[in-house]
This record gives sequence, C-alpha cells and structure tokens, in this order.
Amino acid sequence: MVDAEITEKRHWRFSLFFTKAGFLLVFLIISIIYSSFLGSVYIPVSSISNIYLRQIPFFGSFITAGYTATQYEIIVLVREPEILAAVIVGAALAIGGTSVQSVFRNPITEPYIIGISSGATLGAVIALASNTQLFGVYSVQVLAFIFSIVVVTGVYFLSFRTGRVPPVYLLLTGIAISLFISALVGLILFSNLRLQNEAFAWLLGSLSGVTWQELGLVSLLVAGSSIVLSTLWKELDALQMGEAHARSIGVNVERTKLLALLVTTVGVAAAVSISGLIGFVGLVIPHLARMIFGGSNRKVLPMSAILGGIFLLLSDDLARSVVHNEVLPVGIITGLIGVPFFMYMLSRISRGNYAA
Amino acid sequence: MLLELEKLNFHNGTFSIRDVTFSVPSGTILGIGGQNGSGKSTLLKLMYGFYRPHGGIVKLDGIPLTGLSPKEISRKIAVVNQEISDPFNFTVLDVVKLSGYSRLNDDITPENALETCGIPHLSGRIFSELSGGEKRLVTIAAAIYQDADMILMDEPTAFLDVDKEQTVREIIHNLRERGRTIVLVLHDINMLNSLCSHVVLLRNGGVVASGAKEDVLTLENLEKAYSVKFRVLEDAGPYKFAPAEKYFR
Repeated sequence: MVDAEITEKRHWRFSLFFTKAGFLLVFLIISIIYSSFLGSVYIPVSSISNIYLRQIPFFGSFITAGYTATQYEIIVLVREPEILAAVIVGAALAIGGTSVQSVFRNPITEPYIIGISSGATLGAVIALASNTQLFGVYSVQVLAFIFSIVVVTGVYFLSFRTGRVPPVYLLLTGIAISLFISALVGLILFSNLRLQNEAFAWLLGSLSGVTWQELGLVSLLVAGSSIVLSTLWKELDALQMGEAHARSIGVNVERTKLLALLVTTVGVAAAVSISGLIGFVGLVIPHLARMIFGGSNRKVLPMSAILGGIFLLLSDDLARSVVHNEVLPVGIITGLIGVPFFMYMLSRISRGNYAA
Repeated sequence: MLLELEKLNFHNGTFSIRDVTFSVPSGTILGIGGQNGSGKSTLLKLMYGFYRPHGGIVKLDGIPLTGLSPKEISRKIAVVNQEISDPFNFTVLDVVKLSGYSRLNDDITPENALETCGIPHLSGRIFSELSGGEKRLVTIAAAIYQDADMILMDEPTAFLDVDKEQTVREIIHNLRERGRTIVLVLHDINMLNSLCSHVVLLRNGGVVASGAKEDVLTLENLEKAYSVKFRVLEDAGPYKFAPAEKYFR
C-alpha cells in the first residue's frame, strides 16, 4: 500500500469514529431533554425550557417568569437529579465493566463480580438494620460505599499467590466471597422482617429520590475513576492478550491490575451507593461498544461510558412511564431489556459478526 | 548485548528450575531443549522477568533484571509466547501496534513488520478469527515491531504446517542476519540442530549440557536429557537424529 493510501484510510477511519461518537453524544443530549418531559405531572415544554434557561449562570437572572414554583421544584429537585444520576450510574457501570472484562480477559464478567455489589448490599442492609445515623441521612449510601471497598480489598488480598494476583484466583475468590456475603445479608434480612421492603428496593436498584448533594460527590468519584481508566487503555488492551504477553511488551502487569481494579471499584461503588443493584449494564454495554467501535479500549472505554449513560437513562424513562402513576425499580427494566439484547449480541458474536 | 543466568532457582508447583547457569552470546541463535515438563518455558519466562527467581540472578548487560522496569526490559527483549489469549474484537493491526507500547523510535511500521512475516493481507482481519498458524505469524510480527535486540520464542514452529514452518525459519535467519540475538524453546532435537548455533539441554529443571551446538548435541547428552537412545542418520539433511530402532513399534 502506498503511504498516501494509508494516510487516507486512517483519515477516513478517524472521521468515521468522530461521526459515530458525535451521533452518540447528540443522542445522549436529546435523551436527557426528552427525559425531562416524562413524569407523573405534566409540565409544558415552554415551562421546562424557561426553567432550564433560568439555571444558566448570569443569563438565567433575566428569566423570571413562564413557570410555577411547583414546576420549578419538580424539574430542579426531582427530575434533573434523577436524569443525571441515570447517566452517571450507567456510565460508571459500563466503563467499570469494560475495565474488569479486560483485566479478566473474560467476556462474561462485570464489575460486581469482584465483590462490589455484595459489599455494597451488606453495608446498606447493616445501615438499615441498625438504623444508624453515623453519616446522617446518607448513612445507607456511605456504608454501602465503604463496605464495597472493604470487600473488594479483602478479595484482592485473598487472591495473592507468590507475589502475583492471577485473574482466575481473583475471579473465583470474588464469587466465593460474594456468595458468603449474600448469605450474611440473607441472615440479617431473615432475622428482621421489617427490613425486607427497604432492602428489596435496594436490591432491585432505583434512581428515585436521588439528591443533588449525593450526586455531586458521586459524579466527582465517577468522573475521576473514568478519567484514570481511560488513560490506562493501552495497558488494559495488553492485558487482554495474556499477562505474559503484556509483561513482554513492557506493561507493569500487577500495577495495572491493582490500579484498574482500585479505580473501577471506587467509581462503581460510588454509583451503586446511590442506585442500589442495577444489573446487566456492566455486562452488556462494553460488548455493544466493541461492536460499534472495534476492540481497542482507547475508544471502547469512553464510548461505553456514553452508551451506558444512554442505556440507563432510557431504561429509567421506561421504568417511570411503563405503568401509569407507578415507578418501577429500574433494575427490573435493565434486566428485562438487557437479557434479550445480550442474547441477540451472543448470536451475532457466535456467527463471527462481532465487528458491526 | 548479553543475557546471563547465574545459579537460577525457581519453583511454582508443577515446574522447577535448579541451579541453571549459562549465558546467551550476542548475535547467536540459542536453543533450549529438553523433555516436556523439563522447565523450558518456565526458564523463558524467567529470562524476561515475568517470573521472579527464588534464587540466583538474571543479568542484562551486567544489570540484574530486578533492577530494570518492564519497559526497559521490553526495549531489549521481545517475546513470542506460545499461548496468547484472544483479545475482544482486535484487528491484526491492533495486536501488532500494541507491541509498540515501550518503543522509543519509529524505525519500522506495523505494516513493515507484517510484510516481513509475509502476512500484510491479514492486517485488517479480526485476530481471534485467524488460524493457529496465522496467529503465530502475527505474534512474531508483533515481536519484530517491538524492535528489541533479543527475541525469545517459545516453540515458534509448533502446530505450523510445512510452508509456515519454512517461513518462520526464514524469519529467524533474517533476524539473525540483522544482528538480533534469538533464543528458541524447542522440543524437537532436529530443529535445535538445524536452527541453532548454541544449545542448552534441560532435564528436570537442571542443565544437562550447554554451549556450542556441536559440543552439546552428542548422543550421550541427548540420552541424558530425553531418556531415549538416539542414533545419527547419515545424509538425512536437517533430520540428523532419530530414536534408536527399538523405539519404533
């Protein structure tokens, strides 16, 4: 191939990527705007747009009319945090799934597998059972986060074998510890029937009632984790080819695994602390991103975050609108949509059609 | 460039390495031979620092490997591992490019490396959909792209059909002519004999003999290493050694 031809081909691929990525971003923004119209209370478009304009710094001070105080509260205090939470949680789960699948070289893993979810559930259930106010109104969220980190740390150290952490041990230890902790959670719930309703909501995952305060901190943690993961794309690519190969091309394998798992856990645990257990996003979305953008994590990491945000936001829209005057836990929707979608992708992958 | 192994000891349950001492002279093709399970691949993984020895030392140009970062080592030593996992949806070009992780210069392009291995047409294919032999050639191309002085290869010709085996032999000789040092793990005695200038024979993780090919590949050493009596076939070209007759049944 002549050089000009190669350059042209690269240029073409480059612009194709930006077209796809741009389309996704526009789609995300449209989804966000569309979602703010959904809810049990009808609010006219003009009011919503006025409320949005009102929130723009400086410029907003000129907008003083066009909506009622109740409408303002519903949009700003209820719908906006829930929409942003859906995008942030979806992004955290998806990018976490991409990272964990690369570390384990395993397409059927997701971030929960290393103990994030079981740890978070234990923390949440302990907070509910003890009725603790240790961290004020956010005790459930904070304990869920802390227990998540503690359990993953435990799994990591239990997996050490002669100075290394082989992925297989990490995976099996994660599964074993998760089962053990689920049994503990079962025990606490069994001995305290009062808890079962509250814990049930947590286990099904829900974004209702998220506040701006929680969202602020969580989005910082998720953004930090996503940025660090995105810088690790080469190392995560290399790990997919086996640790011996990764090391031979110069990757510090153990350090990469530790760093990737650490920041994944922080991001996903923060997301789970406000959403409860939302399944399938971390498993399915990375594969979807690979189908659209090819295998390299350079594109798959950031793009899975955007896709995850869109997917969870649309799922949450469905959860809020599928039954009149009732909000379903979004975890039910992701499961119901996620599984058939995953089966469809499996059939494509098995036909050798991984690349779209 | 010189790689020295001094009194190397290592064990990881199944395989062990015992008091292994030898050096890889610059510009040679050195073969490591021995039975299955004699520790050949384990030794290879010790030679680029993937495993840390429990005793002894590996030195690269006089500096212990433990004192060098993975990046520094990979600029001097490239590796073609026998087993390689399939990455999700990577093209052949993605796989080769990945080996440029630690490179400082841009002397060869990934396309050049693929061409050297005679597989420029595979460039856009999905790696996991290739045949075993094609994958092997791609990993060799990746090692060439890594542009290190020394290339370690674990059974580079295993599972390859005749023409691909010839291609790999050609590549190895070309690399040697371009001043690279090559270390090959080979279970096949005739391959050791026809490809290498220096040979190390292992048995149960210890060295039976090491040095120039002519000195090491004697019937006596081969019997020690493989627990099989050999005989020399006259005028058989590269197929010089065969088991003594009682092993044919």
